[in-house]
Amino acid sequence: MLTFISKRVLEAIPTLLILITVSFFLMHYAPGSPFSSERTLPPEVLANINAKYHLDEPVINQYFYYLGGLLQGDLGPSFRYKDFSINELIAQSFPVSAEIGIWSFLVALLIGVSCGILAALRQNSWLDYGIMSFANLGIVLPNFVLAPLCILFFSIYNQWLPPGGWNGGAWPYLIMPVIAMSTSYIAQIARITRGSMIETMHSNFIRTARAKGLPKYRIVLQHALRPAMLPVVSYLGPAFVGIVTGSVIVDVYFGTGGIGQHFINGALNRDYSLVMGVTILIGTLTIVFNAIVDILYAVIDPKIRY
Amino acid sequence: MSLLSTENLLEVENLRVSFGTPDGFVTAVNDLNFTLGQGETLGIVGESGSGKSQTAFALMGLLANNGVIKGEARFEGRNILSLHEKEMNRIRSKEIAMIFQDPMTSLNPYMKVGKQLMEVLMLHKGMNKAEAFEASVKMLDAVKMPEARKRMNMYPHEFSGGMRQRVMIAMALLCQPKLLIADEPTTALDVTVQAQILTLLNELKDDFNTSIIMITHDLGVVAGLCDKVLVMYAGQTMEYGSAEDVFYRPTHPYTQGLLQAIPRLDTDAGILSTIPGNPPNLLNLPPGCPFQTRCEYAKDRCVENIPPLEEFASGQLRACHKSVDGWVA
Repeated sequence: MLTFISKRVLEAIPTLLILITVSFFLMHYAPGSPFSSERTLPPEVLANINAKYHLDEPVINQYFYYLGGLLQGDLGPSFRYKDFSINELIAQSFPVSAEIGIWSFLVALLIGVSCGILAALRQNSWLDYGIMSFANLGIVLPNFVLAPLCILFFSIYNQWLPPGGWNGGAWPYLIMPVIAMSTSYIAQIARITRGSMIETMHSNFIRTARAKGLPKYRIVLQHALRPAMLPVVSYLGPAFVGIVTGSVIVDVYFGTGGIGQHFINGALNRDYSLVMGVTILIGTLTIVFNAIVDILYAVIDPKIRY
Repeated sequence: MSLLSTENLLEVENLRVSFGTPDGFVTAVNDLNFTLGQGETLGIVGESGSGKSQTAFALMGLLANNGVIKGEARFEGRNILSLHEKEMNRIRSKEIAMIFQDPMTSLNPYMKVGKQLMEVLMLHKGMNKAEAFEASVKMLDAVKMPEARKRMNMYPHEFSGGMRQRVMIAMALLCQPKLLIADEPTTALDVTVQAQILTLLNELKDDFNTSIIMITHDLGVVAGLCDKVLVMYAGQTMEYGSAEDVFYRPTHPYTQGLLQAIPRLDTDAGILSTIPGNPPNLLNLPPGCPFQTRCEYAKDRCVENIPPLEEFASGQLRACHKSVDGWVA
């Protein structure tokens, strides 16, 4: 296991380096610069700013400046949020996204898996059709529709919840972002769980378990759940990254101040270092969670050993 | 039925298993009758699709959801076909156990072999973990599993096919059931391993005084193990009697064909004897005898009427219009 983890860490270095290099050059060769969009600055001022951020030097030099900073854990200064470094921006917004994300993930996992199992055990019943209809609705309903509907229902028609803000993550502020974020994941997880549960329940070793005289709930929980979870687990890795790094929609509608807003603002403003910072964050999380999925696979399936 | 008697462990009467499919109603087992005494072994022989496995699943209550059962199966006088799932769960593995055809997929690949054995004892015998562990080790020893104790902590994929089937047999015998249903227990195994498993079953049968229903398409298996034989074709009984009679004095053209189809090394015949044709489609059975299209003796009456299953000698039954000695006018 230790060798597996260290191997994964070593593999992650070139992957991240490629990610950084490609994004860096793509960013810098895209037309425009951080200071070209607004009112025209006097040429002397522009030259001063460009010199300060090394923007007057060749891109390759900037690349090595950036890598140098990165090696010391410095993601650079923001080009747009004056007086903020990217480290500060991420430190501010990532915990928000992480909190919404972890709650959404837990909710999606719990509801999705239980609904999927129920639907599978009552295959082709009204319960099954009901759950699957809701799941399909959850998948086709985009969160930019769901989010305003939530606000309409919970905050405007009924004054139950604040329509937005964060307030340090107090739970009334958490509920709507979690609903908007988790719905489509609940639906996906329920569909995957149902499919693999039905398949597992038809396998020969489940027939053996039935021939033992085990009650149904024990067959499901002790014999069928583990193998039925394998496809769910492989979906969870990328899903978790997607959830935690946050959706732009949630940040925009609820004003929660998560990481999603920085991605879109960074790209629009040509805030080079901000886009790089968010990209590196998402890339690292993806690598980490894929490794966790692989480890979980080995935990679930005894045939997989590293 | 003259074979019915009060001392029988299992009496199956007019068992019928059908399945509703999108293409229509399929009858996989058609009016099956047989009895099994304490310690007796019955072989059910037939080709693929003859309904022999469905008979076993019906007795265990393991039919697919679209399966419909009619008739009775009295186990110690109680009709087990009408039991609720909960009552049936008290019989499964404890009174009637089953060994499946494919040992490679019939064990849970995600669970240690020991746990799969122990859970049976903890469920039916109320043993604690330590007791169940020791009893399971003992049973693995009984099925001649080398290093049984060590293997309790291993997963099924670390076992060979033959060793997995030994685990399955051990699992089935844990509660010392009165009846063991073995559904083609050697089909998926190498020939040498087949012989080992059959020898083992033969020994265990005597040690535990278990009645066995041996389902197979291999007549060699029947010869070595069974007291009685029931030959099935297209869900119906063709011939039923003592193993000796069916083997040495087969009277049904289908049984005769099966016996002739056994390859022999002591004769020089260059070609293997086969029964021409294929089993009929159960969705669309011909009227009359199901074997008519492949039977070399078939006459008009075979096409028109289903031959009834009749006792023609003591304890020997057959369903054929042709008389035992040839056609009578």
